Parts: sequence; structure tokens; C-alpha cells
Amino acid sequence: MDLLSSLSAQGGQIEQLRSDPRHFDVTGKMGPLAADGKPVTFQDAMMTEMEGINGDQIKATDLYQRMITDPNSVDAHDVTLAGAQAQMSLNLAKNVIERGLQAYRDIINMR
Amino acid sequence: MSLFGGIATSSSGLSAQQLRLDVISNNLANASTTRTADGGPFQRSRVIFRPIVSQPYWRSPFLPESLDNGMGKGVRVNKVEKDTSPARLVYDPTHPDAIKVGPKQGYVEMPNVNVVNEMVDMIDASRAYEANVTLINGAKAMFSKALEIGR
Repeated sequence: MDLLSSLSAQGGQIEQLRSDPRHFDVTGKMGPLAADGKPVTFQDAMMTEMEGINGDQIKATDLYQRMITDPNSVDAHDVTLAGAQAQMSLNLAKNVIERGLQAYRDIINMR
Repeated sequence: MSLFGGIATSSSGLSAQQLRLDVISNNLANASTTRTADGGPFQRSRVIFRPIVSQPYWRSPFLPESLDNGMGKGVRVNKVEKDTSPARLVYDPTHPDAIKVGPKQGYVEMPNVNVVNEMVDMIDASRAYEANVTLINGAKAMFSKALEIGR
């Protein structure tokens, strides 16, 4: 059996190995395993998601600013929806990070 | 559906109902406009909606299950159409737009806007808007409940 050894964890990076082509990759699509044989790292996946969340925040801020400077150019519901969406995605990220940290704490407190 | 799929669908409904309300207010504002650039009285407009469907969309009664492109993705405004029903005639010979000659002499062509119908349409539009807002709040509540799983 091909178990991960402790040697495969290097630095701060933990490799997320996708061993079955039927599983979804980071982009949410099924596909062949990465061509260069290099699995997507947890850091990469995290940063991609963070960029998406940041994009939501920027979109909400932009719409709020447009609401103030040029109220006729935006619909009220688009502004509030962008705000709600940014809040929701940030909440989700917060939860995922909290769970990850909790798992880490659970492991280091094991004795 | 993605995380925000339902919200995007409801958002299209919000925009559509908003536009419908704008059209209704234009109709009401012009409820007694007798002179337009096209000539003749103002004609009321109405909004025609269409569903947004995933492409390609197959139209066949014998569609195999695998080709069915699932549920829709909301609503969009197909067009804003003019109601060409005949104008309402009001007898007022002193009106500058009164018909001068013919059997309808002295009558003024008033817009085919029925104020009561427009008010009912307005209630319909604002209730539909409220329904979409309620749906968005429901989706948000489901999302925050999902985050509580395993806490």
C-alpha cells in the first residue's frame, strides 16, 4: 500500500494528493491527474480560495462606493447582495480555517 | 448548483421585478398623455419575461435523460412590448388634441392605461420582489446553518 510518509511533508507545505482521476481537482472539475505529476499544495488551494474571497470583498466595496458616488448606476439589491455574498464567503473561509486550526490544536494537545 | 447559485437566480428575479416596476411607473406617469413623438396617445408598455436556461437547450419531446440540462438559472427580460389595444375615447371638444373631423369629432384619444390595473400590477411586482428577497434570506439561513454542522 502506498501510504504517505512523514518525509513527504516538507516545510509548511502539505501535499494534497489526488490519486484518482474521477475525483474533483481544485477547479472543481474531473480530469487527468496533474500532467507534471506535481500535486496541488494546500497552500496553493488556500491562496486561490482567498483570492476569490478577496474578489468578493472588492466587488462589494466597489458597489458600495458606486452607490454613494453615482446612485443611478446601481440597483440597491445588487449592492446588498454583493455585501451578503462577501460576508458569506468570508464566513465560510473563517469556518474552514477555524476547523483546520482546531484539528492542529487537537493534535498538538494529544498526550 | 454552486454555493451562490440560488442567490444568483433570485437576484435575476429581483432585477426583473425592479424593471417591471419601472415600466409600471412610466405607464402611470403617462396615464393621461395624449401627445407622443410617434403621434397619437401614449400606449402602455408591458414587460415580457423569459427563463434563463443552460445552453445548449434541446427541444424534443423524446429527450434522453442525459441530455436534459437541468433546472433553469433565473429569469431575464425578453422585451418591453407596447400594448396596441385601442385608445380610450373621452369627449372634450375644447382639448387641443381633440379629433377635428369625422364621426369621432370632439373626442380625445386617451392612453390605454387603466390605472386600477396598473396598481394591481404594481402590487404583484412588489410582492414578487419580496418573495425573491425572502428566498435569498432563506438561502443565507441555510448556508449559515450548514456552517454550524459539527460545531
